[in-house]
Amino acid sequence: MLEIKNLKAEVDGKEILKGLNLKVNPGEVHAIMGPNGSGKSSLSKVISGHPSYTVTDGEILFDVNFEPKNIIHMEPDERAKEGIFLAFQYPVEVPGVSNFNFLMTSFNSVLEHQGSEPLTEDEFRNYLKKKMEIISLRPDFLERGVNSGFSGGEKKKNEILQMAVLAPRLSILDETDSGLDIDALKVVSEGVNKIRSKNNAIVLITHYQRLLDYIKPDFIHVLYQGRIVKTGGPELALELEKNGYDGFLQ
Amino acid sequence: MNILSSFDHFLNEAKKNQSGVDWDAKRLAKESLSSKGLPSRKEESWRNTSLKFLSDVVFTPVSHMATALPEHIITLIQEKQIPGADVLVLANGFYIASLSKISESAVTVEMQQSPTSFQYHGDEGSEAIHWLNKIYNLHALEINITKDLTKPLQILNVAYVPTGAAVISSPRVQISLHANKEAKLVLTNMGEKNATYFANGHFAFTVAKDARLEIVNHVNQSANAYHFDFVGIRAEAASTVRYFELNMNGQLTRHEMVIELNGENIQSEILGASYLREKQHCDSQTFINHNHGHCRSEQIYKAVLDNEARSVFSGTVYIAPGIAKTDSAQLNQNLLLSDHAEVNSNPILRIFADDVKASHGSTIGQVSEDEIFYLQSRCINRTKAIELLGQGFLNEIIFKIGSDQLRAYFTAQVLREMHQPRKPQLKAVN
Repeated sequence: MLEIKNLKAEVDGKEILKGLNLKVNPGEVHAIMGPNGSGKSSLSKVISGHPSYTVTDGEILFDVNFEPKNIIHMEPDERAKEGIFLAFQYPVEVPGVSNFNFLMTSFNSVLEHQGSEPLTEDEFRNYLKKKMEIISLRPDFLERGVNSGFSGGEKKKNEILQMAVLAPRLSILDETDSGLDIDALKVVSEGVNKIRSKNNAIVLITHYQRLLDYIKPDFIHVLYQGRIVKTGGPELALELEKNGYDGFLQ
Repeated sequence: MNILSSFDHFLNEAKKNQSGVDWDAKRLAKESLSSKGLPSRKEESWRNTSLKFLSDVVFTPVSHMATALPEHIITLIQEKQIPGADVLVLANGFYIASLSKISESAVTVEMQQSPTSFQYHGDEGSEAIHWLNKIYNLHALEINITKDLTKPLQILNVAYVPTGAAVISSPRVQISLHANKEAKLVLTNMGEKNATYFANGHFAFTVAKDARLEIVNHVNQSANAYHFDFVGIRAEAASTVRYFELNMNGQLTRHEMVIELNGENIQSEILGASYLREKQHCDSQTFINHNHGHCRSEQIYKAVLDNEARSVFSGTVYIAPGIAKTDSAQLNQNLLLSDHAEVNSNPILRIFADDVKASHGSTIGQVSEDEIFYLQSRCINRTKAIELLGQGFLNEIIFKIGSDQLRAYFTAQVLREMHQPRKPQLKAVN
């Protein structure tokens, strides 16, 4: 579904990704771990098309209409409509735009892209009700401004709600566990596990083993200085937790 | 002065149709205006707004109302009526009883031959504009509200051009809200599509002790219209006043808004939301006069500017000598969607007392790329993302409207105005 080949990318003239390779198939869960500044968040932004990053070499191939397509020149919204979702480490606050309006605009943009009729407000409210249950959010949450004045936990739950609504084929969760207490982490993880299926893939970006206790990955990659330096099974996370990156990278 | 050149003709025609008008007062006002002249850009409050159009365009004052309004104007009036609200219709400044609908007995409407004048400490440089309204207004309305209103009352000012030639429309309305009563009012200022006219309104409100008044002043004029208004509010002790100014169309708009806090424990909120595009120019001059202590005034004016639009905000807060416990906050925030838009923001604090809390702030900025990226990552294209962010920016004001019905109505109005096709001018960083 996703194949990244020799990806090099820079921001403000500084090279962050230095020849990265990664292959993700439907149904798989990958975890990307690595020390601060190794390029984990940058990778998620480059895949989703953040305008600050320039791809200088390599390809990001993503299946569009069952054919691998290099997406590096696609706008972020075009990538999203093809099924790439990024859960932000720091979700942006959009005061004055209600969550409901935001979610509906977002969802209807996908329908429009697929050539379908947009849902009416009532139809969408019905659709949303089921999705809200996944992440146990109160209905008044929908009338509030997007992430505006939300607690850290609420913001992350909102990201997962958006993921549930858009039902992407590839979800990249950028440090979704950061800033969450243990209860919120459980709710968020359970939400992700409910969305997980054999047709979609998840890439988790995290510092800690903790998240991986709740969302079991199939593969773990260690990202260091803009490259994936090691790939292994779930046991690799435990090894990292025990010895730290320093011990591991020496 | 072009605007006075047809005065004699106007007077002769008006005399044929009206009686009991103090014609001498009009003549005197005209002479004062002729000798003093219009304000020039040398005056501080007129530095950013030109009155050149008053020399360039010939505006004909409307001396009487036709017996029947044209069909398309009646349709326009119906379209602009707020569902569920009572409505008073003024066409080119003339009260049209047949199209008005007042279901509440608490509202009385009277025509005033010589309306009461109050003293306001507003913009001294704008006296000429007030005179113009006085000279050309022939139907001054006085409205009394003696009980709580269950429905919003919409005062719908429509301007139209009966012969196609530009007109000057001069509505003048005075509204009194009695003690301990509550009302929600909307001033809808609109006109015939694409017509050229000069709407110069004068709206005065008295809010008695313990009364609660919410006013929405909605400017939604023709793309070729010039809109000026004076809004004066006299608030008495323990009253609550919430004023919303919404600017969504008209090529040149100028507001002079004065609130006199004439008692203690008054709560006032003076709020503005503008969406300006193309070459629209909007100038808001506000004057908040704390004449007594223990009052609170909160002012937030927000504008979204696209293309070559220009916004002027000048907010004067006066705090009288010797009064205590005054709390006043002022904020002017501007969001630029184009490199060619212009903002002038001018806070003026005149504080003559010691026990005072007064703050002011002003921001001018662009939509952040991180916000756009967030929306794009949720499948929303760049143009739509900018539109949503602009709506959100203004909705922070609109969402403060107390009446659910009016809030929903004006949220939809903002949505409609901002949804019109726009040429994206912001480019991605790389």
